[in-house]
This record gives sequence, structure tokens and C-alpha cells, in this order.
Amino acid sequence: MSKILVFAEQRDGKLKKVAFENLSLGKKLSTDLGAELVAVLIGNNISGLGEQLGKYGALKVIACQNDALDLYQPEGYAKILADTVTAEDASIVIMGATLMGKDLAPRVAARLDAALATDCISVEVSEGDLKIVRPIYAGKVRATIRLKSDKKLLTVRPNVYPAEENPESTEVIEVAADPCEIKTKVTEVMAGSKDKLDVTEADIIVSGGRGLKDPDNFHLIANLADKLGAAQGASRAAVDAGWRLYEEQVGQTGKTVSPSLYIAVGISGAIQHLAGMSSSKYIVAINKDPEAPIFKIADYGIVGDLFEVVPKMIEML
Amino acid sequence: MTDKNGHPSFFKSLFSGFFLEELVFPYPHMDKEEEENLNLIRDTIRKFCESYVDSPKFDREEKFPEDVINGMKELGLFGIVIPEEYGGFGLSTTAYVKILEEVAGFDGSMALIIGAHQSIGLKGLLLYGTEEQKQKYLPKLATGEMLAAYGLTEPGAGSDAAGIKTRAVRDEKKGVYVLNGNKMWITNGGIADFFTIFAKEEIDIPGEGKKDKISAFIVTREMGVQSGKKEEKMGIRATSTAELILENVEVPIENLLGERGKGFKVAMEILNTGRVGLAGGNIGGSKTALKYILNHVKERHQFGRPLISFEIIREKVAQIALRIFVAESMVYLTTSLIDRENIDFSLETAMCKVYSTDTLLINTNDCLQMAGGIGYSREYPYEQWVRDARINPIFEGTNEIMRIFTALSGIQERGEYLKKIGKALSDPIKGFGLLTDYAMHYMKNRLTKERIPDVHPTLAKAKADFEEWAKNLHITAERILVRYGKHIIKKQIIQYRIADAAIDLFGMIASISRVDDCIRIKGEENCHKMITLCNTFCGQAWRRVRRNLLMIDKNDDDQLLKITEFITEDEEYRV
Amino acid sequence: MNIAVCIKQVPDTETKVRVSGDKKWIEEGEINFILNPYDELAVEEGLKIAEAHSGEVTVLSLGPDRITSAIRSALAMGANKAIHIKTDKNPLDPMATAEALAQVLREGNYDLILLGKQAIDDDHQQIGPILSEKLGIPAANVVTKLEVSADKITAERQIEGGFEKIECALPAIVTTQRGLNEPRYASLKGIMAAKKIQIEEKIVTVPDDKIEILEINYPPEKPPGKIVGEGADAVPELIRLLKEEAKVIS
Ligand SMILES: Cc1cc2nc3c(=O)[nH]c(=O)nc-3n(C[C@H](O)[C@H](O)[C@H](O)COP(=O)(O)OP(=O)(O)OC[C@H]3O[C@@H](n4cnc5c(N)ncnc54)[C@H](O)[C@@H]3O)c2cc1C
Ligand SMILES: Cc1cc2nc3c(=O)[nH]c(=O)nc-3n(C[C@H](O)[C@H](O)[C@H](O)COP(=O)(O)OP(=O)(O)OC[C@H]3O[C@@H](n4cnc5c(N)ncnc54)[C@H](O)[C@@H]3O)c2cc1C
Repeated sequence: MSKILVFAEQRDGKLKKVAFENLSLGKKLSTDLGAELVAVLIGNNISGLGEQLGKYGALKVIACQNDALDLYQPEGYAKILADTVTAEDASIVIMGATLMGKDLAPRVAARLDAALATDCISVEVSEGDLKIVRPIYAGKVRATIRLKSDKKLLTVRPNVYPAEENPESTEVIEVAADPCEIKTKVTEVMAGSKDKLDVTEADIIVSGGRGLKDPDNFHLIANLADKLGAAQGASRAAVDAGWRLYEEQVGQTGKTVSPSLYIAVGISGAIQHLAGMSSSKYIVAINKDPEAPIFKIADYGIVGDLFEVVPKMIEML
Repeated sequence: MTDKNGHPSFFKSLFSGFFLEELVFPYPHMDKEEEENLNLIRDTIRKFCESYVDSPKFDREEKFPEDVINGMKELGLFGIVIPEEYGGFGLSTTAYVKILEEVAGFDGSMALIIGAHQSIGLKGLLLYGTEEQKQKYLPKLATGEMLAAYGLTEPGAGSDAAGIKTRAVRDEKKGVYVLNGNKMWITNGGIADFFTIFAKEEIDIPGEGKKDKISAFIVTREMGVQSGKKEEKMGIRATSTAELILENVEVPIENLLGERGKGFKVAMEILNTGRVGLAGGNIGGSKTALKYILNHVKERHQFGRPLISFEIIREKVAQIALRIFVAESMVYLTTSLIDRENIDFSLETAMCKVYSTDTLLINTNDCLQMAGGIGYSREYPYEQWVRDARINPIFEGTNEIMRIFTALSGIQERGEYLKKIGKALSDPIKGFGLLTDYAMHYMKNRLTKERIPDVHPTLAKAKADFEEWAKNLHITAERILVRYGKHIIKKQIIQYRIADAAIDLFGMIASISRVDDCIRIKGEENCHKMITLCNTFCGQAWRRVRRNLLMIDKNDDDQLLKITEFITEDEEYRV
Repeated sequence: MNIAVCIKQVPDTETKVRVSGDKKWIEEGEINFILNPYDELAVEEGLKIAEAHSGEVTVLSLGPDRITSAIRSALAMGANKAIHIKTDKNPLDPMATAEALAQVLREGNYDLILLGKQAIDDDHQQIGPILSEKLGIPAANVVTKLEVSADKITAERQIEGGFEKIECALPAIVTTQRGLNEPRYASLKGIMAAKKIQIEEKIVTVPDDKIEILEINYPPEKPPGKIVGEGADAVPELIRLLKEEAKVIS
């Protein structure tokens, strides 16, 4: 029976959500192809993680352990994963399109001389082969592709496939792995600096308007932005009132932005404001006035009091 | 058909009924290598302007920041047209004008600073400078270490530039000219160190005695040029426009530019080429305004629909696009004539200037109108664009003077020919050669359908209209010449109509040639936008030409002039 | 220091991408091509390092004739040499591209190889790590901070919510991310000087693509906006939609 191998990404002994998502995808594919689903863990102090993977459908977990692998070490991981793929003779390898996955997958592909599809948003079985969709040109178009090598490697975009539980009685095999020579040494992991992100560079923006009523209430915007790793923006009304600095103003006479997510809180959606943000990929509006023009261009709207809605969002994220 | 140097002129010829095909067909292309360079340069300019050029701020503060000027120097924007052997980049006029277009799309003042430096400030040195003069000044001008300005206008002499009063007195002993006088409205006047100055000197002309003649001089700041305060202006506020005060400024004799007493020609030649830069810049301004307003009319809703869904708005947008297209077609045909050398392009540059500057004003004004109330707000760029646009029909030769120049040069051309024919006929033996020459030429070039090259069938109607009305233009020119003789000089309203007809015809043929070329290279299916633009414009244009030419015979000019008479007499509106 | 920068020509970010008639690729006709913005960072970094360590920067690019304009823009920024890698066929698989680049890079004896973290057209983000394996030298990818000494580099590479600090010996590969530097503008002088540099051409045979494009499509039309609900009660549904439908948060 052929095997599907899912690389279960962990950092600090904590599994990433994408590992479960990919197992759920792997499960689906293994059913369609009649393949066996195997998870691979790499790192140090990873015992105990194997069982969690079983919950999501892995029949076998190979836990590759080595003292040198407290942190992600590119060559070490690549060698171990490639060796495991070869040893298991897996035909499909799924990784997360995370910063680790994006670094690791091409290395493994190179070692195996296999084809790799990165940042996939859809993987299906069609006529016994994988039909893969990946966005290109910053998502302006999508390519449906096929991998022509015996071994097929994928990195799948996080949040695309939901993590679904499929408990299996899992066999966890612990292996003392040999990471070989590590040339690219990761010496330290540092938490991100709190440097303020500029609205024009941000992928997510949370903007507040006159609906915030008072400059002090902008901590709501700040907290929500923090939770999302977002930049903070403002309407001109908020800037003119002296609540926020001009550099945050979004709109025709402020900055023009096109993040993937723009959350407008207490902003009516005047044309001048829209001119600066209407090209955002997704727009969320929170406003108590159902007639507010912002709802016309919002993908998702909540009609309600921002002082209730926003704290709830902060709590849930 | 040719100027005094024997250089052919497309439009002067057209006025005489000759179509010099090789000057307008095929539509010119940039050299591939230069085009690649140009793309890189535009890219750089875009990045530079997006980071450093805050046009509304410069306008509000009425200042073009020095560090931005320094950045422009580093980029090399002051040495575009200066040959490489003098430290410049030796780009063609076409490339230069396209650069001005790009810059003007970001900020009118910035384009003007570059233009006043290269289009006119140092142009005289390029055209008439001696090797020593070029060696001495061009390298510094190329890097921007020295900025240049052009000083012709004076308090008492604007359009009538020949009336300048600034004096140059030659002191052979000291080897200098001593200059005294004031120059007005000089762009870059407060920041330049290099001035092309025009002044009158007394010259002893054999057989004529002593006469005041204009000479041109290279004057530098340290010779003692002083600047008055920066003028407060309606638009292009960030530019330094200032009076120049010349008080006993001693200019070495070797700084005479061109021949003694030939300064007026220098002044005019400079403007003849310089104008096309202005025309190109204005295209950039129109493009930016259009891009901006499109965004607004798509977003702004009234009566439950976006503004762009209303026909009147749609018509305005289309007209702006048409005007941009035609201005482009004219300007880049003309720059190629300049680059080809030994062609008389003085009428074409004048027509480009009139068309491009008049239409920038209409375009920016229409954009302001479509923006509604916010168009009038100082927080939006529309009103600044209108203010910035307003200067263009005034300087580098007012558009009235440009029209007069176009019409009179054209009519005169026709006159010259008739004179020659007349001579030939009255003295058939001596004139035989001339006559046969003329006849041969006429047979070959006469405006007949065979003579204008075949164009793609989709443009056939436009071409036929051009032929018909170009023929009418030269017939009309001949007719009014016969009718008014030398008094045509006074018939300015007629001149205006002739000029407007000529400009429309130029727009037609430039567009036809451009689109014909596009079809030949890319195929009809890939030129649909251009074909529509060209045919629409030609349709509008020939009707205007017809009206203008018909109105030469049928008009209310006399009544109009009568009104002026009593209104001026009353010194106010009193009826 | 001998520095190589691998660059790619890509469509301008403002380009409206149109799918070609056979749905196998995109219409290239009206596209304005530029130097990949991430590669611009790589060129800038290369120039800075070359200035500090008296080095030389060679840019390498693989692709059809039109890419010379991207090569020219890198030269105009200040790169010293350029190699245009021509191939028998145009690879769409980064593995094949990397193989072709590796063949040329091996000949060059470079101390440092820089490239953008990804090309903004096909968005594969594979070349840097593949080269690391093919050339057998270390690679720090998605780097926002870089220090180079005579024989090693220290880099910070972006990860979710933070950075990994990386050390490795030269020769090494670095892929560049926004934040690393501000790319300089090419001056007219640079642009004109670049014209005089002869672009070396190397012909390389590339392995067959292992990725096959079946079809290119537009993403499904954006559904009309919807009111998720009223008040705080609607928040869970909103968050679900953002995660699962829009997939813009995790
Ligand atoms: C020349 C000019 C330039 C301009 N440029 C810009 C620009 O660049 N950017 C810009 O943003 N604007 C600009 N404007 C201003 C623009 O017209 C609007 O005035 C401005 O955007 C309004 O800001 P706002 O939406 O925050 O305020 P408002 O329009 O007052 O909207 C506040 C919104 O908050 C909602 N709200 C109130 N309380 C609550 C609550 N408790 N919970 C939920 N919702 C609540 C209200 O229903 C309302 O919809 C410009 C205007 C002009 C004339
Ligand atoms: C911002 C600015 C920058 C300038 N920069 C420079 C510069 O760098 N160097 C320089 O030398 N000059 C410069 N000028 C001067 C400019 O070229 C003159 O203003 C222009 O030539 C018009 O001259 P004038 O102002 O004396 O107007 P006038 O000549 O008095 O003209 C007034 C009006 O009368 C019309 N008119 C004049 N004569 C006739 C006629 N014969 N028939 C019909 N109508 C006529 C004109 O068309 C105009 O409408 C600048 C001017 C400005 C405002």
C-alpha cells in the first residue's frame, strides 16, 4: 500500500494547527487513494506529541528525535525528513505552507528530486492522480497543476482545510535521528518586535472612526490589532479630532491601502474613506447604523454597538 | 516649404498644397535601446516621486525643497539633453519630452524646474555655444551644480520680445560687455546660476549706420546678477519665478552667445524647440488628472448610481482621453522631426504647444467639475491642477501669439510661392527653370489622393477628410492672401481661425499616421482603442476645420469689433 | 567578495492579469514587466555588501529575451556584471530553474548568493532552499537583517510571530525579505553606464518540468457582502467566516 506522509510541524514541543489540518487532508486523500497515513515529527523533546496526531487519523507516527534539534535546523530537518520519506517509500508528502514548511519543503524536494507544489489551496484526487490548485500572481489567478514525479510534495496553506478528528489507534515509533552536518545554524528564536506596522505595509488593518467617541477608547482598536498582528488605521474624523495621528489616516487624503483584511470599526464609509481602502481583499464593517454606506462594500458586516462587538472579538481571537 | 536654411517644413508645405509624406509617414519609433533606457528612467522617476515629491505640500508651502532638487541632481535629471562628451546623457528630444511628461504627471513645478533649465535655460548654449563655452559650462549644468534660466521678458516687453530695453555696452578695452536692465518673470530666477540673457547693443552696420540689435549672452550669477523676491503666483507655486536685476554686470566678451546682433534669432530658436517640452509635460498632467477622476466617478454614487453611469460624465471622460491621445500623437511626431535634424519644425512645435496647453486646462477643469464640491476643496488636488495648468497658455509665447505665428507663417509660405510663380510667368525665359521645378514638384506632391500614402481601410474616411480639408486650407490661404494682401497682418480673427484649422489638421494627420503604424505592426485587432480614438477625433476635427474656414467668409467679426469699440469708448459696460 | 544575485523579471504589481485563450498561461501582451521587487532587495543588499567588502556583484537571470530589461535595471542600480541564462525551453518548475541556475553558479565561485525570497508571479518560493541543497552550501531564507563578515554571516529570518537567528559560514545563500533595506534608485548615470556593460550569455539545458499546468483560472467572483448578524452574538460567526471562508486569519 502506498503511503501519505504528513510532516507535523511543532515548535517548542507544541504542534502547529496546520499539522492537524494536513492530517485531515491526508486522511481524505488516503481514503481516496487507498493509502496509509503516516505522520512524521522532528525535533527534541517531542515525546507525547504522537498521540495527538493519532486523533487526527495518523496510523503511524515516526518521531525523530535528536539533541541538536531543539530549534528548527534546516539541513537537519531536511535530511531526516527525506530519509524518512525514502525509508517509508511514501508517495505523497504534505507540509504546511508556514515559514518552516516553505524553507523545508524545497530542500526535501531537492534531496528526493521530487516535484513540489507550494502554498496549495486545494488538493483532490482525480483519475488516480492529485489535482492541485495554487494561487499565483498574488491571487489574481489560480493554477490547477499536476505533479509528474513519483513522489509528490505539497505545502498547504494554513486555514484552508479544517482540522477534523479521526481517532486511530496509533503506533508511535521513536527514532534516534541523525541530522548530519548542520551548516545553516539556527542559534536562537526571538519574539517579534513590537515595532509599529505601517498601514500601507500591513496585511491586516483595524481602523477606528468617530464611532469610538473618545481617544481613550482606541485601546479597543489597539488590542484587536494586536491580536491579529494588524496595523492600526483611522478615519479622518478620528484624525481631525486629534484622537489619532495623521500617519494612520486611511482615505483619499490619507493613505491608500489594500490589505487582505480591513476591519472598519465605527466608520460610516464616506466616499473619501472608501477611496483609500476599497481595494482591500476582505472588508469587515462594525457599525450600529444598518444604513451606513460602509456595509455596501463590506464582505462581512455586524450591525451593533462596537463597545460590545469589539471586546467579544478580542476575547475570541 | 523650406526655411532659409533649406530645411523642409511639413506644415508650411501643407499651406502651399504640398504633402511631404516622408515627414509624417511612417509614424516615428524610438530607437529600441533608447526606449529601454527610457523605461528604466521612468521607473526611477516614479519611485523617486512617490517617495519624495509631495506636490500639494510644495504648493501650500510655495517651496520646492532643496533636498528634492539635490535628489533630482543625483538622478541626473538636469543633464538629460546634454551630450555625453560634456557629462550629460545625450538623450533624444523624444526621450527628454517623455521624461518631462512623466515628471509633470507628479508635479508641475518639478517639470518646470527641469524644463526651464534644459528646454530654454541652457538650450542657447547647446544650439549656438562655441566649443569653449560648452566645455566651460555644460559639465556643471549637466550635474545640476549650475541651474539655468532664460531671461528674455522684461517689464515693458513680453509678447513683443523685440522691444526689450536691457542694454549691453561693449567695452573693448576691458574685454567685457556691461549689462544694465531688468528681466521679469524668470523661471528658476532665484535659484539659477547660469542665465541666457538677451540685451540690445548698438552695432555699426555697414551701409546702415548705427543700429540697436539684440545680442544673446551667457551670464553667470557671480558676475553680479541679482534676483528680486519670489513672485507670488496662482499656480506652479513651488517654482522660483523672480525678477533679475542687472546693474553694471560685466560679462566677458567671449560670453557672447551666437553672433553679435543675432540674439533675437537665438531667442526664437530656443523657444521653437523648448515649447515642445511644455507640450509634453502637459500631457502628463492630463493623464494624472484623468486617472484620478476615474477613480472618483466610479466610486461616487448619486441617484443610487455611480457617476460614471451618467452619460454627461461619460462624454467628458471620453473627450479627455481623446485630447490626450491627439496631443500625444502630435507631440511625439514633432519631437521626432526635431531629432531627425535639418527639418524646420517651428510651426509644429507652436501647434503642439497651443493644443497641449489649451487642452490641459480644459481637461483639469473638467476633472474639477466632475469632482463637484470636493473639486473645489483645497484638500483635493483638482484645484491645484487647474491653477498649475493656467500658466501654460501664457508663457513661452502666449497661445494667441502662437496662433498668429502659425497662421502668418503658413500664409506667408503660400505667398512666397505665388511670388515665385508670378516672377516666373513674367520672365518666362529666366523663370523657366523655376517654373518647371515648381510644376514637377506640384505634380509630385500636389495634394491629390494618390499623393498621401494609402492607409489602412479603417482609416480611409479620416484620411479622405484630411485630404479634403488640407486642400481647403491651402486654397483658403491663397484666397485671403489675394483678398487682403499685406493687410492680412491685421486680420487676427481670421488668423486665429486659420491656426485652429491647421492645429486640427495636424492632430488628424498625426493620429492617422500613428494608428496606421500601429495597425501595420500589431494588426487591426490589437489597435481597436486607437482606431476608435483616431476616427472619433478626425470626425470632430474636420467639422471644426470646416466651420473655421467657412467663418472666414461668413462671420460677425465686424459687429464684434464694433461692440469692442463702444465698450472701450464707454470704459465700462453701459448699454 | 564575489557576490551573485539571481533575479527574475515579473509583471508589475499593478498589472491586470488576464488568462490566455488556451487557459494554460496568461496574456503577456500588455504587461509591463519589472524587476521582481524582492530581487531588488537582493541587488541592493549585494551592492551594499560589495561596497563594504570591496566586492563585485554579478546578476544572473534566466528567461526569454525580454528579461534583459530587468537585467539592465539591476545593472543600472550598480551591479558590475550580468549573465543572461538562456535555455532550450522555458522552465515553469522551480526545480528545473534552480538546476539551471546551479549549473551557472557553480562556475562562478561566489562567496555569497543573494535572491529575493519569492518571485511575485508564480509565487513558488522554492529557489533559495533548493539551491542550498544543490550547491551544498547553507541558506538563510526570508531574511530581514543581515551581517556579513569575511567568512561568515549572521542573519535574522522571519517566522510567525518572531525571528530565527541564523549563523553560517561563507559561501552561503540568502533570500531577502522586505525590511532588509531600501533599494536605491537607478540614476541616469547608472542607466547609461549599464548600457555599456556586455551581458554575458550562457546556454544551459534544463531538466524537464515535473510540474504540469492543467489550467489557469480566475478566482471565483467575490460574493456580495453580507450582514453576519447583530451585536456581539454575531462575533463567533464572523470569526468563523474570516477563518474558513475568507481564510484571512488563523
Ligand atoms: C476634503 C475632504 C477630504 C477628506 N478625506 C478623508 C480621508 O482621507 N479619510 C477619511 O476617512 N475621511 C475623509 N474625509 C471625511 C469624510 O467625508 C468623513 O467625514 C469621514 O470619513 C467620517 O469619518 P467617520 O466615518 O469616522 O465618522 P462618521 O461619518 O461620523 O461615522 C461614524 C460612524 O460610527 C458609527 N457609530 C457611532 N457610534 C457607534 C457605536 N457605539 N458602535 C458602532 N458604530 C458606531 C455611526 O453609525 C457612524 O456610521 C474627507 C472629507 C473632505 C471634505
Ligand atoms: C510663471 C511665469 C514664468 C515665466 N518664465 C519666464 C522665463 O523663464 N523667461 C522669460 O523670458 N519669460 C518668462 N515668463 C514671461 C512670459 O513669457 C510672458 O509673460 C509672456 O510672454 C507674455 O508676456 P506679457 O506677460 O508681457 O504679456 P503681454 O505681452 O502683455 O500679453 C498680454 C495679452 O495680450 C496678448 N497679446 C500680446 N500681443 C498681442 C498681439 N500682437 N496680438 C494679439 N494679442 C496679443 C497676449 O496673448 C496676452 O493674452 C514667465 C511668465 C510667468 C507668468
